[in-house]
Amino acid sequence: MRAVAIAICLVLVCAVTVFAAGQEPVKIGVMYALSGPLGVLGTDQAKVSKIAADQINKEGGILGRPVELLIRDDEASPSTAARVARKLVLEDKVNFIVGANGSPAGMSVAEVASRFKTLYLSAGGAMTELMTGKNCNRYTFRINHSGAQFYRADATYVASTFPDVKTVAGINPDYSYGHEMWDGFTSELKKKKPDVQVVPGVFVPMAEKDYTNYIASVVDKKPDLVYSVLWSGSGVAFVKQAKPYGMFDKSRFFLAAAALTTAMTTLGNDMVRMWGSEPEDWQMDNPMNKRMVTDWMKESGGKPPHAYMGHSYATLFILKQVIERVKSFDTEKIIAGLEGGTFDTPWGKMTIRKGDHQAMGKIFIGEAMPNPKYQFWTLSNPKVIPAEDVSLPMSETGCVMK
Amino acid sequence: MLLFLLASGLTLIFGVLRVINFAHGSLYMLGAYFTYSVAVFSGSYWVSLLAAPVFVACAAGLIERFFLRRLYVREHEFQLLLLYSFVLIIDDATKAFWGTSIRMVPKPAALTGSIEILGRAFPTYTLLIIGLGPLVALALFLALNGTKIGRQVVAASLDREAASAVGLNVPFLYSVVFVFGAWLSGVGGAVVAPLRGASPGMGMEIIIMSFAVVIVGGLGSIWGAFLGALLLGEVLAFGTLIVPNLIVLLPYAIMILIFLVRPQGLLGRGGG
Amino acid sequence: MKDRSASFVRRLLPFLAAGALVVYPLALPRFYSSLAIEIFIMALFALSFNLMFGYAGMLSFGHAVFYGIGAYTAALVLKHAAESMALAIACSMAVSFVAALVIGFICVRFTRTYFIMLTVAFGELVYVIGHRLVGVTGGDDGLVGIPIPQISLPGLPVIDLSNMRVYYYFSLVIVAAAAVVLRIIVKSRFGHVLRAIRDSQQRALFLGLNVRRHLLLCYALAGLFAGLAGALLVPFEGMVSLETLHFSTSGNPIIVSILGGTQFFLGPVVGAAIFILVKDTVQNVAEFWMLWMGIILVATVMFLPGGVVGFVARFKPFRSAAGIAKKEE
Repeated sequence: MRAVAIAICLVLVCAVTVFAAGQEPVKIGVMYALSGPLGVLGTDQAKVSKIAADQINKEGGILGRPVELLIRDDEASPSTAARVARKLVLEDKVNFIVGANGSPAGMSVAEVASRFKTLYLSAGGAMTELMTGKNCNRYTFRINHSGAQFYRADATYVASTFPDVKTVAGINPDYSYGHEMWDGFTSELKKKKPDVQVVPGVFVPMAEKDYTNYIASVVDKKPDLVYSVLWSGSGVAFVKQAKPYGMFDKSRFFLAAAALTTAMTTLGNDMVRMWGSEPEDWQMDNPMNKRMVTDWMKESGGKPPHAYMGHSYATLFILKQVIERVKSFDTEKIIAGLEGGTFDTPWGKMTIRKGDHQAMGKIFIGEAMPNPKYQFWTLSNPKVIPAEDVSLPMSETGCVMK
Repeated sequence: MLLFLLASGLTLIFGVLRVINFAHGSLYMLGAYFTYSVAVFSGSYWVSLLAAPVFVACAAGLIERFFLRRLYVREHEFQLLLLYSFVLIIDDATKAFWGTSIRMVPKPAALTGSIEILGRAFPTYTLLIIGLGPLVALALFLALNGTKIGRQVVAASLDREAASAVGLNVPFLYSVVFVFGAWLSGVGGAVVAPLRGASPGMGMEIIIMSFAVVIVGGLGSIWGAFLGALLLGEVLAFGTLIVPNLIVLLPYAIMILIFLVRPQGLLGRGGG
Repeated sequence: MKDRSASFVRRLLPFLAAGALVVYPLALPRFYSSLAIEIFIMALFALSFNLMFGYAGMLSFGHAVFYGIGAYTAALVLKHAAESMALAIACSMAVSFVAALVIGFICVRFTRTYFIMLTVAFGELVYVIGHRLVGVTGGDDGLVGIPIPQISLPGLPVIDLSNMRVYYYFSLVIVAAAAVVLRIIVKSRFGHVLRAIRDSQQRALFLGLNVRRHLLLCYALAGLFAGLAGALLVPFEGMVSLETLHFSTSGNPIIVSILGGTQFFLGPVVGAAIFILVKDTVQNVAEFWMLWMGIILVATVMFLPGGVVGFVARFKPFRSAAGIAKKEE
């Protein structure tokens, strides 16, 4: 009798385990800056990720398994990001990590991903060259753009659209990303317009909230164009503080690399004349984009997605597409599926380059204009540049994939 | 001049209580956050400018009366550690209560816009903050030398035991000074809120600069704090134009230099 | 009967503890090893601080300087010189020691309030310099891509430090060794002099002791061990950031030592365990663990001046356990 009882228990336990494994959720660690000056973007990216996960689960999950998001604050800080990522891998045992706002945090997570062999998809706007360059690794894929894609597109646009620009100044965040973008933009611009005068760049520490002294030193130089990649909350704060100094009346302001839409949706009455380059165009007319925008506008009370939100959304769908394509959750198989794979996104079909794991999206450049349909300004009639045209060729990236 | 509001409170507290108020920056931050909440509640910035520092002063009063006061008999270090603990508490409680994103406070309509001086535009609000400094300094000077309680405070700071022997209620005076210093911090926070908003970590950012001002000016000297704030403010402003990459270093380098050359600061009383 | 069993338990306790420490990483998932490693590093950092504070009375709010310098030195050695942990550790300790001598030379001339302010000033200065020296420290990005070394000793299998469980044993051995050295320092004549200075600098001067030299050496040694703790951080995190030099990091060993009990040699170790465990537990349920830490600290400062060990030592049955922490006269 005892033996039979034990046997029945064992069978039941096995059955339950097998059943549970089938239903075992796909755990995805979602890391964004939920606090601090960059928190404006991060919190929205986390929210839109939830929307994507809910939609995926409504459609049956990934290969029948529901998606479970573990949302964490990386504070856009490399040390916090490393600690959070490590915890997600070791304690929460996530299957994937997505996100990370800012290059320092992104690079940290890439390191952790490589060390513990967990797949990491950068979607938070970490645009440093290192991620798909010298420090590239097998387990890291970059869904958002690389900085080079932006600054090359920006330089092309500025050279052709503003032929009268003589002096260029810049005000940028003082870390790798800010320097890379400024140096990259100015050198590309000089290639196209050798006669342009570049004023020494002004750099603002990441944590700085008072831009007064920096604004003064830029306005002093009377530039024709001011180039900036101050993104998320720092871009917004900068515009607000610079407005009374008359910066935007005297110079053309180019808010590049996904910083413009955040400014447009957040500034309201403080908005000023400016141009910019963006990774997405939320006004695009395709079903995936329309569904995302509608659901997000419901959540946000009428405000459109901005900066890299579409990428946060798309990344989860890319995971779904690749896993269902290779029909497996095995990391190596997924890596093979991502390398060179083409996926549906809200901005059309996008391919991920095999050599450096960099996604080839689109860049939308234009002027911000008040839009009669909405309370806020929008990017009007942007010029669309495919990333393939402006990406660094593999030979120049410095990436040796191990 | 913002620095002066904080530095003066800091130096006053040190001059009388002989303790560095580590929590000073956190009280400043509370001032900014209270300003935000009161402004949202009342719809008027001016109301919050009046109310917020008072709330901060109350919070400080509670800390002094129920915690700090019990440690006066113990070693110095414990008082410092207590204040540091409150930094941790206040900073995190602020995040818990008000969230982690920056809380913007709209400038009062009368003070937006700019004034042209010598062909350059200066925001009106910033100019007002600059003007505030000397006013506060003068008011403090008059209060300490002109009023009865002011003179009692000075007496208690010079010699606690003698003051007590003469019949002054020293614990009460200590409380007054601590609360007043906190009030000044609160004003600082209220004044800066429309400019930079209320954000977590703003206390940490300003406290160390405030220390620098106080050391340069001399611990315990109000005019020293004024001078120090002026000096360091100018150094920072001009430095950004000339050597923007190194200016952040200057306040601390100056602070250490002062320690080496004249430890009591520019206007401080002698001794360690 | 009771006496004999009590002393038997007291003698068995260290062996049980050692046994637990050895078995711990093997019995539990990797995450628990990483938690323990955090405790070891924090414990060493706090022990180094307490050498200054508990034994010599110097309250430094800028101790992160040496922790950070140790971490960056180790990282730079591993990245650019050689993938040798021994070299990294040696360099870290050396550089931190020298840095502490330089900064200490200026600081120990002052007492109390001025000393504290100076340590804060140097803390900020070094942080800002580190922030500016992007070529060296990587600035806001930090240093990433640090190769985690392996140790090959003749006759033994290769020790792979990137393995969490392996690193647990490695850091345990290093921290334990450092603790032993610190204990020797503290029990020596030098340690006694420090305590005399702590109790009354004037009296020490009158006794003819060279107060400044003793304090300087104490400060420098504290810096050396903080640097060692920083070096241990590098293979664990795989990266170094400016956070290691930040003012808030300076606060950690202070909190930890007060929590554990500054008048007990192993107080900081107990404090480190409590600190990391509270942090981890609270972080899983709520975001605001610093709030609770602050509250615990206020309670400790107000009501438990002897820290947790001091509190526990008051109760007779725990005397034997507290005895391991060994109260200093």
